[in-house]
Amino acid sequence: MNSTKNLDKKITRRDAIKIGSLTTAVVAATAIVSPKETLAQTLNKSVEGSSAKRHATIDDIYKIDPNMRRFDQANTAFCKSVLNDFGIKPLNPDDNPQLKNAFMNVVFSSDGFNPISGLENPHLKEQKPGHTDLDLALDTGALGMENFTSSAFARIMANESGTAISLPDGTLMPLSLYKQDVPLPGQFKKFPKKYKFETTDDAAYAIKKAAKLYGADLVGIAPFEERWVYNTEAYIPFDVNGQPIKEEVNIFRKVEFDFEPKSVIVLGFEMDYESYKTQPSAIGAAATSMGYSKMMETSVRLAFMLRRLGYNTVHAGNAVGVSVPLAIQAGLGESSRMGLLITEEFGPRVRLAKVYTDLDITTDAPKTFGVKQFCEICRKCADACPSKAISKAVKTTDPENKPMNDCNGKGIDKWYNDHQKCLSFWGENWGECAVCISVCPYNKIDMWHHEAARSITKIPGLRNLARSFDEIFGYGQAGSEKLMKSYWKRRI
Amino acid sequence: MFFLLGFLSCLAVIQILKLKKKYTFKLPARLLIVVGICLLVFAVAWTISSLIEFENQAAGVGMLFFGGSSLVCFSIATRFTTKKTGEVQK
Repeated sequence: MNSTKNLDKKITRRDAIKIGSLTTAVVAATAIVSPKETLAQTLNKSVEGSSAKRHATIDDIYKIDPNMRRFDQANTAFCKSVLNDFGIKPLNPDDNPQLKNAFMNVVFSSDGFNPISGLENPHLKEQKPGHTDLDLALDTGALGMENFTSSAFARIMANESGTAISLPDGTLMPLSLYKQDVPLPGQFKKFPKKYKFETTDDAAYAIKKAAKLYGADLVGIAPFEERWVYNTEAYIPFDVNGQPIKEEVNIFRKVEFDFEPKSVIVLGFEMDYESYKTQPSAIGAAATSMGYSKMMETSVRLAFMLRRLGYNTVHAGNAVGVSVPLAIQAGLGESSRMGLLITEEFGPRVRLAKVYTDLDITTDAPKTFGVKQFCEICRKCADACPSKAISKAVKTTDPENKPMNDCNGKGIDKWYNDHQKCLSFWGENWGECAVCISVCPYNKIDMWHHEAARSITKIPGLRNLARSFDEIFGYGQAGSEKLMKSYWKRRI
Repeated sequence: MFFLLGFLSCLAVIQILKLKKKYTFKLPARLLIVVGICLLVFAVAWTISSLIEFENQAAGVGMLFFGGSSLVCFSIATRFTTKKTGEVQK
């Protein structure tokens, strides 16, 4: 009876105040006692935010030969082509005549005349859509920051070592694309006192936050591994006045650091989607050039910040080491059929830069989100490639998928593409190509409906539908003169 | 865009409630109407998003594909719908 009576008793105002105060006290106590989320944890939450599967190392995703030989930078198609045109004996004797005038035609496309070969840019002469004066001026402006800064650094470098590429207009650039391990003036020198972060997580947070402020769209951190550093790097022996150096100089140098790198900060930069739809054209090339300028700006800023904190750095674009495996190890994305990095955010439409440092910093884990499985089925890049340079082998393990020439790094589970064929088309086109990037179904802007469509690539039974839908919906129509013409007419 | 989608969904619900006074919807019809409304809203959202990114073909095909599917759903739903007869409200 008593208990029933108690239950029936109405809650008074005093009881309500008591209950309210008690609840508030409990909540407050819990908030104080429970461990606070560190800044690093907050950042990691935002970094995670995807359904991708995480792995411990890159070796868990791709089979890599433990005896793999480090790649020589001079064996890249770009270096081979330049060495060819300057009449310098390549690193390996089996060089390919396809590469003659390939890269230098691209370098001089805006001038309309390649002074080394004496060839004229036919597309510019006939003002072909995508190669008009306006289009090429767009590209020149976009590359301005990169050219200006790298030229300045190359001049220092040339003064120091006497080696840099010299273009006839007096521009100097290191072939290794702004590896700036040269003495720097004033505040850019390494600060004598090292700043100590409380934890390596905090260091990672600070570096990522700074990199985003400086202009990076994606940031990841990989542990330093010598296998991803070039074995040798190449320089063209011209002096600061642009005159060829007659005496014997070492063109191919061993890549060495004057400190012990511990980690590599990998930076990713989105390239403009609308411009990329016009590939292969100077409008599309302008988006790439903007990427190069951003790579330069951001990596320089981050390296100078680290130097101010008392740490050693070497910042690089395409130089020093191979970027794609580092980006995979840093958790930025996966490798693809075309050999480029595919990111969840922008697909293959990214440029990469990196900063090597001796700062102790928490590294990121590699991730997979079904790219390899999708690439096995799709092959849209291989079909669209103007020079047919991309492998059509279904799987990377197929016997027909084997290294083509010295331009391929060997001993890695990947599709082998003919980079010499690829670059020879650049020469014919008097500009870059990047059709593979443009047509890739992963190449979409960050909008909700693409997110929804992208999830199809993760479902095994529906993967073959993804390419068909991509084509039916009209995405990735590379080489369309209509798009090149309409680029300047579209509203901003 | 989201305002428009909300407005569209609200309009669809009001219309269904109005029709409910005149017609009796069987369970399959109710399901098909829900799916149809979802598809229609998706079609509009897809089309607007595609136009924003200048993908005109994607906008057209999206409207045809998803919008068409929603119309198919609505037309099948009519087969499971009957008109209310003889009831006089007092």
